[in-house]
Amino acid sequence: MKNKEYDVIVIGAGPGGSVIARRLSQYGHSVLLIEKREQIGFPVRCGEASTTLEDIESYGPIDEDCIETIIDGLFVYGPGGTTVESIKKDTGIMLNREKFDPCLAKLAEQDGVELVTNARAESVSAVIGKFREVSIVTPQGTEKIKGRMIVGADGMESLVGRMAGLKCLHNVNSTCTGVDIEVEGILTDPRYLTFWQGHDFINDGYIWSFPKVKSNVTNFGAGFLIPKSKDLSIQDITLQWLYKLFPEAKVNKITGGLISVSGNLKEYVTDRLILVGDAAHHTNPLTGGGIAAAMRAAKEGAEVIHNGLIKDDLSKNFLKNYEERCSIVFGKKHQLLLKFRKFLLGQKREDQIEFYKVIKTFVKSNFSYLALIKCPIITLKCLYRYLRSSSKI
Amino acid sequence: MANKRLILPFYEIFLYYQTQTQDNLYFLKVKKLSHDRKNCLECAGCVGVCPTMALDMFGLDLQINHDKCNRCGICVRACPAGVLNWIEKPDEK
Repeated sequence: MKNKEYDVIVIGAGPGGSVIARRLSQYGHSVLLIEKREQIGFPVRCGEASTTLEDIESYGPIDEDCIETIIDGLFVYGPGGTTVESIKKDTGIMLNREKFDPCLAKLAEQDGVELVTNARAESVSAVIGKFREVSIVTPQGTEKIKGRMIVGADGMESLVGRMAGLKCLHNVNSTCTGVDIEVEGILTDPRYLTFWQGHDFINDGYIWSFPKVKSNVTNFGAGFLIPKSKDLSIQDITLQWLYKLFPEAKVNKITGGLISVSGNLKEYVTDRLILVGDAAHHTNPLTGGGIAAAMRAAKEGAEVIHNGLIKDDLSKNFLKNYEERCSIVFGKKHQLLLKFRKFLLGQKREDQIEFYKVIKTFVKSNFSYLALIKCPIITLKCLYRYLRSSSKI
Repeated sequence: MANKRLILPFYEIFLYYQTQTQDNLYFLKVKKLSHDRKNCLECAGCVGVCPTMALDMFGLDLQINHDKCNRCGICVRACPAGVLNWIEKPDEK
């Protein structure tokens, strides 16, 4: 580290960390970005599907190599043989995280951020005057660096928040565990994201198959809530499903990870410290996706911190602004999706099949509610069940 | 008689807790978390779910602080690759 003192120290160089570091540097603050791994973006712990190209490119010019596929729709295999096909141009893209994360970090570095890899934040001190002290462990030794503001973007295994005394322990009942297998060749329709969900497959989660066209591989995986007891490892379950659905699949490599799907944390700011992305549970509780939300949160966070640094007010009260903004941008949507997930997973098989039929008619008619008049009884049934389950939560 | 009825449940609860703690002590002494490095996916999920911050990860090196570990087993359940397991007789060091 060149200096002993920075305006902002960002811990974790994932999409969230890199975006917030870059933006703050563009505003003219001195920023230190540390990453505990040697190589940014490696190993990947992600299914790699994300939002629209437009949205991703609004965060900076991104190399073409990072984008694998433009996705034009979803295909869901539901229980009882029901299938839902939703075609919509540019629903999202498939990323290559091995290239995408370094690309974002490089953009940040070009804009004046000091990036240090192989550096781990061992502890974060309480507020001392106008600073918090982070002791950073590198192969050269331990260094204590002062930061006026600390940003914890250290992902799912976030210890920064816990060191600062935030209640950000993962709730076991709302944490997902998943395995992603890279399979050679394209297994499913290259334009679509394909899912298998419901009692016939995996009810506590879903199986996915995401095509990466440029590299000619497919991300096949399964993710579900942490099981109550375990006979088989999740990796074995995923491999079983892979060979059941595609007997001739050839496995390249296996990655895995945990995703918090509890909806945003109740509190993720404190004096001179905020959490961004997975660390603040900014993940979509239905799909488990978190790249888009992390980057959006980073954008909001950068603006709030910039204002705070100018006014010299980085108290918890001021930083609550960031929480409010995040809540407006995606927090409320995530709460709704959380309710929806609890409803969907709590259904019996027969009820789930009916629900999938309603969704199918709805999607087939281009999301017009009028089409649901064709099947009024099951629509009303499903609506009743949904209202009952959401009133319980 | 009334007194006996009052005391009895408390005594039972006391006994119950005693056995529980004894079990716990036995458990703490005998069971120890082990990490199979060869098949580890390096996802560091266990670090995130550990309620006592007993785990930390440096690359492939998972550091287990056995004094902090309370043997809740959440990491064992959560591990995607199933590389965390209990071993019965820990080597005394």
